[in-house]
Amino acid sequence: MQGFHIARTLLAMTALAAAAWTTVPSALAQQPPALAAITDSAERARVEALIEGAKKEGALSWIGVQIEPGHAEPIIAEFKRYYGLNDLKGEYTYAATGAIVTRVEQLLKAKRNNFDIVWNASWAWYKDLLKRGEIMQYESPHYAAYTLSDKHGMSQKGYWVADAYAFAPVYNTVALEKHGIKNFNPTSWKDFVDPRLTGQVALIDVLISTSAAPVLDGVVKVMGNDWLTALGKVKPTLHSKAAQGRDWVGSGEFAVAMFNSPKDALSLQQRNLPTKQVFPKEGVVLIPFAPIIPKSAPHPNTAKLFVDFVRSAYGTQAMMNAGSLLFFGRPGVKPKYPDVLPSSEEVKAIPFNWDTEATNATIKKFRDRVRAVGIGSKS
Amino acid sequence: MHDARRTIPDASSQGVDVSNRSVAVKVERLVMSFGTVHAVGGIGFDVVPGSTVTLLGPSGCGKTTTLRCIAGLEMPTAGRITVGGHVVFDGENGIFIEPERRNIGMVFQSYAIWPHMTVGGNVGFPLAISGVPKRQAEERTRAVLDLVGLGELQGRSAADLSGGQQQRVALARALVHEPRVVLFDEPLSNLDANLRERMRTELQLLQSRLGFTAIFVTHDQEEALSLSDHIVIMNKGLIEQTGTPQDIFKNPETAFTARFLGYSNVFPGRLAAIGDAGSVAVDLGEGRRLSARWRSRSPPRQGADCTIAFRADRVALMPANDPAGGNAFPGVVETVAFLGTCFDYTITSGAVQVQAEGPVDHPVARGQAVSVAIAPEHCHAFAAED
Amino acid sequence: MTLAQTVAHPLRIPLLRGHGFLIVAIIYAGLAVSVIYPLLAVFVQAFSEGAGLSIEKIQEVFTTPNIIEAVFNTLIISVLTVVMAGTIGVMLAWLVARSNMPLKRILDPLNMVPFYLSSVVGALSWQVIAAPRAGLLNSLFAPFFDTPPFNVYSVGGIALVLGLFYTPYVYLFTLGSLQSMDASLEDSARMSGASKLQTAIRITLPLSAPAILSACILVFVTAAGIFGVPLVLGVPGSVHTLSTLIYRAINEYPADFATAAILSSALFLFTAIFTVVQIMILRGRRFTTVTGKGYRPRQVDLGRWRWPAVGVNTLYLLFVIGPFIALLLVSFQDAWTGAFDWARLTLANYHKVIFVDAIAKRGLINSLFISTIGATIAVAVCMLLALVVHRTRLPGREGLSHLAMVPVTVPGIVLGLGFLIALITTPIYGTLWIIMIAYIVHYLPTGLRNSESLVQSVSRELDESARMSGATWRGAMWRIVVPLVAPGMVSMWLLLFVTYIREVSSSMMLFTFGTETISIALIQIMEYEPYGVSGAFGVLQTVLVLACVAFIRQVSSPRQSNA
Ligand SMILES: Nc1ncnc2c1ncn2[C@@H]1O[C@H](COP(=O)(O)OP(=O)(O)OP(=O)(O)O)[C@@H](O)[C@H]1O
Ligand SMILES: [Mg+2]
Repeated sequence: MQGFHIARTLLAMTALAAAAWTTVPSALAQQPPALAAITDSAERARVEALIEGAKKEGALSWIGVQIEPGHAEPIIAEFKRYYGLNDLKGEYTYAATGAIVTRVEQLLKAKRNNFDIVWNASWAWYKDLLKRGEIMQYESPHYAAYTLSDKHGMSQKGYWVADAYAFAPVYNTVALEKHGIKNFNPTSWKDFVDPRLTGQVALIDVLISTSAAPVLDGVVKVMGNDWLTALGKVKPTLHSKAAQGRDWVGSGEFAVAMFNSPKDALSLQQRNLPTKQVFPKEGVVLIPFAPIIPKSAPHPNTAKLFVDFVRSAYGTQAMMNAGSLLFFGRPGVKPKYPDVLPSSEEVKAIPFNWDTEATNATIKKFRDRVRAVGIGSKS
Repeated sequence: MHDARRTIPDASSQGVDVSNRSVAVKVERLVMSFGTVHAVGGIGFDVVPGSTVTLLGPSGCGKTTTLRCIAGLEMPTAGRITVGGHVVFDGENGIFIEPERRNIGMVFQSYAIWPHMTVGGNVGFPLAISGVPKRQAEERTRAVLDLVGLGELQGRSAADLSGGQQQRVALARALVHEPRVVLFDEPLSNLDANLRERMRTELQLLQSRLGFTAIFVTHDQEEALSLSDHIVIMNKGLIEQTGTPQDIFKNPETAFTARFLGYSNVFPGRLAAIGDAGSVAVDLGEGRRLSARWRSRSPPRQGADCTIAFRADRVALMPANDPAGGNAFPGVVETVAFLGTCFDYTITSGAVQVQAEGPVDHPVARGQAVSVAIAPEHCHAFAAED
Repeated sequence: MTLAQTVAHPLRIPLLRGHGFLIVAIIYAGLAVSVIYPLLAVFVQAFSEGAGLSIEKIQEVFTTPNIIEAVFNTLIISVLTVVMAGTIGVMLAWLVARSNMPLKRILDPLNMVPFYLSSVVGALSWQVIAAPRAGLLNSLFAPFFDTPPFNVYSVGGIALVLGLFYTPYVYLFTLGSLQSMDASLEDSARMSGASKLQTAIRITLPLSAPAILSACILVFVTAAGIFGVPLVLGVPGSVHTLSTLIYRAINEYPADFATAAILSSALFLFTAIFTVVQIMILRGRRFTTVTGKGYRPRQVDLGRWRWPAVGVNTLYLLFVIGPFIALLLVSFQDAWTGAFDWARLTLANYHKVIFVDAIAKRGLINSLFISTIGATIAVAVCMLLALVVHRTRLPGREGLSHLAMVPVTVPGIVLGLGFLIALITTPIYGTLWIIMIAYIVHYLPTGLRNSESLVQSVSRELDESARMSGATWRGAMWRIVVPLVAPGMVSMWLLLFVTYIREVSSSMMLFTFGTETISIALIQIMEYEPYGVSGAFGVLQTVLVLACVAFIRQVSSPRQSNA
């Protein structure tokens, strides 16, 4: 199986090279790189039809989290170039996970959805949309290569394959030293419930955030209830949004932010702040993050082409290069910042079943356990 | 001279009262209530074209309200108002003509000069509104301003005019579109005494020249007497008396009117005897008795309480035992004040204090005993006020 | 001449002429739809979980510990805010209006500056200053304390920022009443043997009490329903208020409209009760102090307290403006580590806000659109209302002004929720218009109060003389009243414009992607961008508003000086 995928990847690479080559001499053929890479005539016809449709539609609107506005623009630009959609007006809206749910739900309720692509990290919501028939069925030919997504249980046949991001601890060495903690070289989740860190830990509010609760739940699953008790003992301060944790640990307000994404860690590092991120040896929970096409998408052809693009080998690498620090669900994407982000193949994932372990009931039960160790109560 | 637009259209011809063509303004059974306050309690009067009628009365008696009802600025509770033969308000038939279509001019107490316009803009406004061509309007404005003596102020901002100037501008504005009727709400009360007198004369001159009908509101009796052809005396929303100034001044019908017209001697008494042709004898107590004319509409009753009134200038001070003083009683001069044209005396007679005037060439000394004499025709007796 | 009979029996007058009656009916309908209907929608939603009346849900909501805590937080925040804004506002107003404090001419306009600033940006600035560990103040005081003395992520922090930013309301109301007060009232107290202080406390303050009280209630209601500041300062430390819980209920998945509606109803009840209390206290006392006789109020000699008074006033300004300066510093730093660092100097934050984050630009354009058009419509609507109420005798006109005052009791977030529930299936949902209408309705009382006092300031005789000159009602209003109050209308427009620009609460409920306002954009940017970027946007927003204010003041000032 693996060999087949490597072959596919190689094929794509060659196509890419060919595409690059064809564009160099002044428009040898007016053919977009995407078509040049396709050998199968049926597939070619399908893509050509989509391109024709997309040209008529002329626009793509995409709402998502994790991929920052500055990173989305190059992706859209690449997409346009790849399919020769020069006149396409691509628009990206960046918002928090919960905000996406709220606004899209309100738009759906008002029957005024204007998004072609929804790219969120809310598994339960996706499942709900699926049940309500709000998601367009589409099986991109590139889905077949998304073996890691399948392996981690993040794929939905006929609808989506997912990349993932993960939350891992970030710490500020200067702030730690200020509090007398030197030579802090954590490798395990255990190191972050060290009693010396009492009062220095920021934790995303798992009592409110529905996406954060399963992440902590997963860690507790591998670390045991004692670890949760120890976490309660360091009296973490809850914050509602990931960016708050990032800024707190960056400014030294807190020495440790328990759950931040590699994207956050990178942004701190790039600003020369004395912070480090660790992926603990026990693993992290991978949070599925997939693009879907709403059934009510105003530009369905463009949406399908876009999904093709961002699931292709070329597109995923383009995303990575643009700065999307994701664990791609397809093997072979080369990390751009290897020191910050382990590759998808390397990262140790805590097994987590998003269908059964992230239901309202399990989250509620888990929150009770969190409260029981004193997290969230004012001291 | 009237613009077509300003005459009341035929649509209201049902309201034209042919029999009243000779009446400029007719007010009938006018009632105006503000909630529970009955500002006007059902009054009526007529105004002859070209004449001046003054509504006279103390503060709060409903003068302004009546005027505003005629203007159309208040919606009366009931009654009927006719202006120039056209019914402008009729409570029973639901007729109400908007103020701007009544062709009435009005000078407000505050003058209501629009500070954001020039003097010319203020005065020319009525013409501009009725669509008079600009040149013509300007000429007419100029003419009216000249008439009130402000010709050179046409282009000035109206924001900083003196009181007298404002008054003239307001007058010019009220006259410029040649209304049939002009209403004045205490137009002179904001001016100082000198100016007031001058404006009074000017107003009269203007009126005789332009021939408009004027309804005038004031609580100054002197102003009322000097300006009016007719006076309507109001009290608590009702009419006390109407008549020509001389008529009213000579023959007040109620003690209220008498007092209001400057009768400084008003005393309670009792009807001691009733003679013929309205002559009565009034007992003022302690043996003081005066013959008087009965003025009230109700017939006199012997022994009933009454009020007697006479003016200070009608009092003659006689030597104490002068037998000539028939209608008199004795008293002592208490105070003497020199007023330039006359002397002013206070005479005490038991519980009664009489105001009297005497000529400058025959002064009476303080403390002197005198006889207070009044001719019976200058002594007015009324039914007692309640 | 005839003497009329005095029969004063009331006659039936069928005088429902013209379109006046129709206009009143239309205004009533408009107000009912825009004011009452959204409120009803909230109530209906609150009481109908699924089918029929539901009490269980209400019980469930009010036994949740989180929510009880939020109710208390809301109450405490409102009370602290009023106490603070009331004390500072009255004190500064008295100093400016009635004392010989030096530098008054400079301090007076400066005291109004916080009014033009967004309290959300203020909250952001205070974060820079008084975050428990990385805040400037705390770094400064760290050597003297074991634990950081200032924690802005708290009930006290929220109330502090609100108190500072709502002081100008009390200040303005009190100043107006003090300046129009008949000086002889105070003089006679002095002649009766009262000292300066006794006069101030026993005569001056009680006479201003109606004005102070109305301002305080306004501040109380606003603080109870405010959303932006608790979101910025409360949520990070898990300090919740009713407003943030309402927001959360709508923004979790699945959205819990029932809880949001129940909490909104509770919040509305809370604010309505206080407003009713205000009306009861103020009944019949409203205009007692305003005599406008032209007496110049006498100034109290502060003696050696003159300069300390300047100090107090400056301290207040420092509390407001200081944090903004800190924010300005932060906006030029690539990362904030608790102190300014020359090595971190950058323009990248501004670059990002202006050129990269589309939402910032969008928010700016949207807000300018909504505020410009909205303020214009609102001024027109309020003027029309005021003219109908004060310059006609149409039946039912007084009821109009009462009805239009209802939104004063409705917190923005509740109104926003009402509009959301009521209008989500209509085509105006998801447009800028729904936000604009919500703003207009929400601040109708502000506008109406303004326009009513403008209209009342024009003597009736001025337009009546126009009627007597042949002008129709419309002509008299348009050519006399409106030109006379035009400068006041410009100020009113500016007031509404600034208010709209700062609005957070109802927009938060009503925006969708593409219709973010400037405040929403700021909150969204704060969601994911570091302090520096949010700071840059906050600075831009502040500069923009102040520039607009200065510009419009400049443009309209020659006319203003005329009136
Ligand atoms: N708009 C109103 N609402 C209620 N009451 C009113 C109104 N206008 C007048 N009144 C009352 O009606 C009565 C008559 O008022 P009006 O203004 O006609 O008096 P006036 O004779 O003009 O007095 P003045 O000489 O003081 O001008 C007064 O008692 C006054 O208080
Ligand atoms: Mg009057």
